[in-house]
Amino acid sequence: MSQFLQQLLNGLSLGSIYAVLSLGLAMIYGTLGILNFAYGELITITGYTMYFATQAGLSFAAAAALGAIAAAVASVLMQQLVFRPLQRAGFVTLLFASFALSEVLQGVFRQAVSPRAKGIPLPDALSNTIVLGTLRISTLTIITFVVAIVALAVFAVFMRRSRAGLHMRAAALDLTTTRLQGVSAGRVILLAFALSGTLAGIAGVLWISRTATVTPSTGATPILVGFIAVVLGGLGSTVGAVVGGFAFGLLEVFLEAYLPLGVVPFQFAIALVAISVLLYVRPEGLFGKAVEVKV
Amino acid sequence: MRLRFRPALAVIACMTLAVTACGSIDPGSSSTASGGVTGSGGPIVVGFPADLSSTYAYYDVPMKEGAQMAVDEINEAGGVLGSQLKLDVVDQRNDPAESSKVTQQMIDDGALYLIGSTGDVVTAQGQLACAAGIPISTGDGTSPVLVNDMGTCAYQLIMNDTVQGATVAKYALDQGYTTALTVASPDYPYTANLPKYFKSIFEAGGGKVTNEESYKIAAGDFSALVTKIANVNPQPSVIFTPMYPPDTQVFMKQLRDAGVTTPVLSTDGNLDPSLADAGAKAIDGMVYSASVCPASADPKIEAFYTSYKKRYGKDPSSVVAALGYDEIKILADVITKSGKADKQAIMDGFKSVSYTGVTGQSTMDPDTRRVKKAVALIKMVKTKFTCLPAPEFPATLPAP
Repeated sequence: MSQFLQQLLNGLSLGSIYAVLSLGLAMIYGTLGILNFAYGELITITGYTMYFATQAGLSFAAAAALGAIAAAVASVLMQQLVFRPLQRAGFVTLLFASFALSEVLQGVFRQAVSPRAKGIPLPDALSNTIVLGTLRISTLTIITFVVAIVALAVFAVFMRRSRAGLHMRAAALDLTTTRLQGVSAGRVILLAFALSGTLAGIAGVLWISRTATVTPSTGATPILVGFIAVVLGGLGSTVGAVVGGFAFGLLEVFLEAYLPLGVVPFQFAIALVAISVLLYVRPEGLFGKAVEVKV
Repeated sequence: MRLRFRPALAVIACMTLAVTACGSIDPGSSSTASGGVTGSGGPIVVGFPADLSSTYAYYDVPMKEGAQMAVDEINEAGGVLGSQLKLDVVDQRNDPAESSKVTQQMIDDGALYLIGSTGDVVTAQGQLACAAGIPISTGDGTSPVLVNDMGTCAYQLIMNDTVQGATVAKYALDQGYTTALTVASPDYPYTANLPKYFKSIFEAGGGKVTNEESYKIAAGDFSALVTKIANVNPQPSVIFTPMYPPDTQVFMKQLRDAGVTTPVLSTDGNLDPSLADAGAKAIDGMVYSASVCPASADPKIEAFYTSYKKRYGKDPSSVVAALGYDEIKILADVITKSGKADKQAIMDGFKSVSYTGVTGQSTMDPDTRRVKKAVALIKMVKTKFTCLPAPEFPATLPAP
């Protein structure tokens, strides 16, 4: 039982990172219909910013804050330099542009920094352990969960209580009509990318706090999981993305924990098959809305 | 009209940048292999279809650096048999099609010898080289099955994984460890086979592998795995895993956070400065095998680093450079002893290689075409890389 509870905590902690990550992805898809494959590189940018900041002698906390800010700035730059010029292009063009951007950034990281892993020294506070009966909970597990939940809560309040949040929700429903109401589409889009980048930065800090290193392909695993979580939750649904993130984190941990040894290597495949079955039954995902298309 | 053109321009710009970024930006490495005159007077061309910009740039870039230093030194001393050496390095980006194209081009242009690249593409490189009768090495590839997969012209000039597995198992037995838990990954032959090699020798020596676990490379989180290990009762005396950075840092940190204090043994992928950033609590006491000790712990490697820095004004990318350096020195030694720069003479000469270089003594086993070369054992003392007394070449090796 204690092992089950321990694994449950592991799953919730991992899932909380995925939830923050997926939320940022879902926000951009909901507002602009873009599936941004370069989103994972925002995590890598967070990592390299933290690396250079700690090398320059800054504290881990300052490096983490800079990392999150760098991701937000990079996200806005992506929108301005790549997606904005393509705003009239179709879905596939945008998808390929984000692929190309991802490849460009990974190539730049390899050539300009190093193909080797760069280490980021973590503070001892992230390595402490709290013992509760038979449970051992690392402070990082708790910090990850708390930071993720606070980030999600702040985001929810912003979207529901602020005027800018209202504009973003309106734009997600119908961007054209929202513009006709006098809302600046450019400002809404910019804000969506800034918020999405901030969420990627927060997820990046939490991810780097686990890995203690950054490589040119650091963002590859999280972005893959983020996409799966978004599809599982329902494309365009922010609530679905969060639930999808937690669900995939728990699924990943429990499959690793309880599958027989010979089957463990197939855990990712099994998770995808399970999600495919769910999508077969419910194509719009857990929280997505079925869209009827007139043919 | 302007709006219609902007998306197209942006996409073209993106794609152009992508292609540029994926390609080599090293001006010294983008030349095609040419002028491969193998007779007296012309240069002796050594081709290296390397991965300089993708997954295995990690290893191939320092291999190139070390090889180039050896070439420069040899040429300054008058060359080999009166001919200058020429190292032609082309970036194949770990792309199988590009790798085969580059390798064939090098062969067609007259390369006398090829350094194989790291990664799966080396098998096809070997098959192309052997079809043309040109000797090729496994480069920094440590898998013992490579030479057979590549062909009869392939040679392994560095230690192989059976030696690592056997040496680490012997070390475990010498420490009095009686039971072991292994953590393997089926993702790569390296991470799948090394636990088998370890188990073979550990159990032959009286130890027992009581638990076998599996992990996914680059998972980013091993909390489920370490919780399983923490709940193993009774705990094994030692844990063996061929995991390497950046996975090692995550695994070790989560393992110690979970309260597992069992010693951890591993292999050469961990000879990486970033390992230290996991912190002393995570990695203190960890022992692993490697081709060589780091410069800070071995005077010979330190001298190599000093020499490299004096010549090029910077350190090599990693200690792997010493392997590239020794490979070219071995090649030059073989050509000199055979008295002719001829591909068949090189293959014949490789069969009796006995060479002491920066990275240690290499003696070729002509039956397996793999050198008998002992590995080093490195111990992390807090976050400091220290060298344990040099182990002997194992008396028994597991079957590849």
